[in-house]
Amino acid sequence: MILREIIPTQGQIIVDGKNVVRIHDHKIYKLRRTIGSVFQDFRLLFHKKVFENVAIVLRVIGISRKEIRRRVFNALRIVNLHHKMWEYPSQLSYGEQQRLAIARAVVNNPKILLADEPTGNLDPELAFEIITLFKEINKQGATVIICTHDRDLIRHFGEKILFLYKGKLIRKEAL
Amino acid sequence: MIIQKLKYFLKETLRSLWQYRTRNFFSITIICLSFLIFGVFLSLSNNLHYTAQQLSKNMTIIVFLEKNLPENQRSLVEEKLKGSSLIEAVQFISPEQALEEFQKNFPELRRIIENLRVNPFPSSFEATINEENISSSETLTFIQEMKEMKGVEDIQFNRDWAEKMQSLSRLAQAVGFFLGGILVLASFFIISSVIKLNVFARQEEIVILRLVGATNTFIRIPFLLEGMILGILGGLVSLLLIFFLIKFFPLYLGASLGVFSELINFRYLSLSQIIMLIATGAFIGFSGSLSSLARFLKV
Repeated sequence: MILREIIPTQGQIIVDGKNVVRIHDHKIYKLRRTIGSVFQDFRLLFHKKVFENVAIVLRVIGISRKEIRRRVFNALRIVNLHHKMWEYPSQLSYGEQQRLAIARAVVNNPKILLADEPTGNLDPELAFEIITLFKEINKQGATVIICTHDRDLIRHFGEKILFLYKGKLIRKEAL
Repeated sequence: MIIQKLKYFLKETLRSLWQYRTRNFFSITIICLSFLIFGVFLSLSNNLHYTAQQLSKNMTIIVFLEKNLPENQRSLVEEKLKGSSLIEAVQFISPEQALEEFQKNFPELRRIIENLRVNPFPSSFEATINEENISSSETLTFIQEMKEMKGVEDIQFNRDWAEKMQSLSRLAQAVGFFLGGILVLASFFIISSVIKLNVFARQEEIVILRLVGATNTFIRIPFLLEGMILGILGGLVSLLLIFFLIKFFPLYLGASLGVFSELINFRYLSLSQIIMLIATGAFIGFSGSLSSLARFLKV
């Protein structure tokens, strides 16, 4: 709903002072460019190489080729995938695919980072690395919203915690 | 920046053309066949029109004079012909000249004429009509006036052939436009369906592009380019086939053309027709893609 993939039946969603529901269809892309998303099913382009999967975010904005190379390399280095830049996602392990999805989400320095079960398929060590990365992104000024069932993760990372049950907010906590 | 984007679009388009090459090949084939039929009729119409023009050149009316027409009466007819702005040149043919001409053209009939013992040919005037006046109503009125003139036995004006050729040319053009129109419409729906299939096949990619902030135009351009390329390729291949058809069809007909071989000159489509055909292909491709994108690509 924050990305306005679906429109809420009632209420408002305010992102960066703007009501998402009221943004015109033709201008929704501007909102989406400020949000980085990590999906549970990764949503990678399997016919494109690792580099291109990340670069696509910058291509749609129209950034220069040189700048694309620099930013994509940096994003891939953060998730430790820069050495597999010219491979296809199908050649990566499950955890690597997840890290690729994260690199794509952070490459454009988003104001908001949405992550749906970002550590669901990772071993504890890698999950910790990813969470540390998210914390770093958060420190740089981005709002990081993580949706997870992992209570350990919440304990390590959580600052504001919202508990949802059957689509309803049942508890708010601030650590 | 624009060049970089264009390169990206072109790369994406070519990738899609290659990835779905079987269905793209079939759509190019169908577009090509549609344009081929249209192009063949267009070429036929061109040829008939050209032939009609050739026939119309030096079109003459022959004014046969009554026998033993007094000199002054003949002069009146001659003056009337020469005085008309419709007539380019006038030539008097005496009975002797007519006989000589006949014997030259039809040597096998020489005996029949000799047996007659008298010259059956009347004297006549052969008048060449200005090319632009051949089909005009003024010419018909003038011929009618001449017919009613004293001393004129009959008038022969063979413009029927030219007119028949002209109307055949128009008919071929009309049939071409009709059949071509239907087939071009079919091509439109085929391209539309092919692009629709490609959109479906790349649905996941489109969703990702939408979520990372691609504009509608950014997502649509590769599909529109794809449709246009399909249309243009279909047009180009059909032009190539028409070229070979025109080059080799007369060879196939060979001797059977006989006396017409001089008259019938198989000609290729004009430059404007070639451009029109390719532009139509591009337009069909573009509009076919656009219609399927409007219906099936919710951005």
